Amino acid sequence: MNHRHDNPLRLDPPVRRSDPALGERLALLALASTRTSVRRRAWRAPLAGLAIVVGTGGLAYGTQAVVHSHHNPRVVVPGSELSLAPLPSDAADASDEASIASTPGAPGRSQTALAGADPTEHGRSASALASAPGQLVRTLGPSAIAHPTQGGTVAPSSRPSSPGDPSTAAPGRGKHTKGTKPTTAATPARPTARPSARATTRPSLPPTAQGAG
Amino acid sequence: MSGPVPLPDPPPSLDPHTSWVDLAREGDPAAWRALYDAHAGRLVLWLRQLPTGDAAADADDLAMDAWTVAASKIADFDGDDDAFAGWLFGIARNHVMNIRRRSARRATYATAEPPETTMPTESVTGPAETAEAIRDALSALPQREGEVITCIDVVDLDVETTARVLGISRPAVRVARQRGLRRLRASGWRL
Repeated sequence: MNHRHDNPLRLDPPVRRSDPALGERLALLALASTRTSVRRRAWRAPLAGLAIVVGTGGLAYGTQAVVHSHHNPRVVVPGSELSLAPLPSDAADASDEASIASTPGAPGRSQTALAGADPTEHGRSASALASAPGQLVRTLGPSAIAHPTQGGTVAPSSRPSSPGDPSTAAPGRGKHTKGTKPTTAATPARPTARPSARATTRPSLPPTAQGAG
Repeated sequence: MSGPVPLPDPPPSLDPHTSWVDLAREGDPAAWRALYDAHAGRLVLWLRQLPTGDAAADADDLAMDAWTVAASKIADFDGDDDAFAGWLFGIARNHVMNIRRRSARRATYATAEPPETTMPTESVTGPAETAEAIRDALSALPQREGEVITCIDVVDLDVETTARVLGISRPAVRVARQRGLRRLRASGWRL
């Protein structure tokens, strides 16, 4: 730097001397700020560890919840909650419906539509029904037939049916009812007996399940 | 009047790498007194040269506020004794800038146009000028040039500390100083 005589802008600073009280006060301020800083930094490590643990646990829990949300084998589907279509009012409507449904590829009557009809969300999902129809057979039986919402006027034992019996196959099952004669389904229906027939013939059983039944 | 007080050496009983700032960070009153004796005079002088826009703002009060803030924030400062001056002056400059903004917000003028600041060139005669004349001359310069010349030529800070205080690079400090000195020479100052 330039000397005083070389630079006319140079000014001598005023004399400011410290006293012990000032030193003590500044030192106390520094100590207080240091303690605060150390305390603030000391919180960072356990807080970061806690955040990592909670985040990892939450991620694992969410992953497991997503994985297990698609399969719950202990849920039983009441047969009444899988309604297919409104009941035909008379024999003529029933015959028309049966003739349409027996046509291969008839829209709106596929197994997918069957399995997805679960408005109460108490039953099994569509994918579960489509993947394991045999379990549905076990869940449907006298208890399902005697469900109070079905009217229950037909005794389940009055017409023992086997899954392979074509006479019990309900009309309108799409490709799974190709062998069903339309005349059988077109028989003047007993409206009160329709739920039981539906319950016993609902599952689109694969050949192995039919043989086992 | 006397020059700035240099920082004494730390006590020999300590680690040779220990600085006064390290001791001050640990709460040593003697370290704070040493730092105060070394920088307080120049800080007050520097603050006197800065226009605050507030007539009630006293340089000694501003300096004490800067020391208080420095003591409160010393834990966050990781520099050594050489960098302490720049850090302390930067705190004081931020404080002055706050006061300047506050004064501009609250300023009221009787006329539509604010009063102009004119440099009293007729009173500039040589090195015997008063601090008030120097202050007026520097206030007529652009802000950066005036601040650079105040730090380097008036308060006797080095380029490194000046760059740290003003938050600019060292080449920018040199350029601003040369331009400011050229303006002052054109105004009649014999520099």
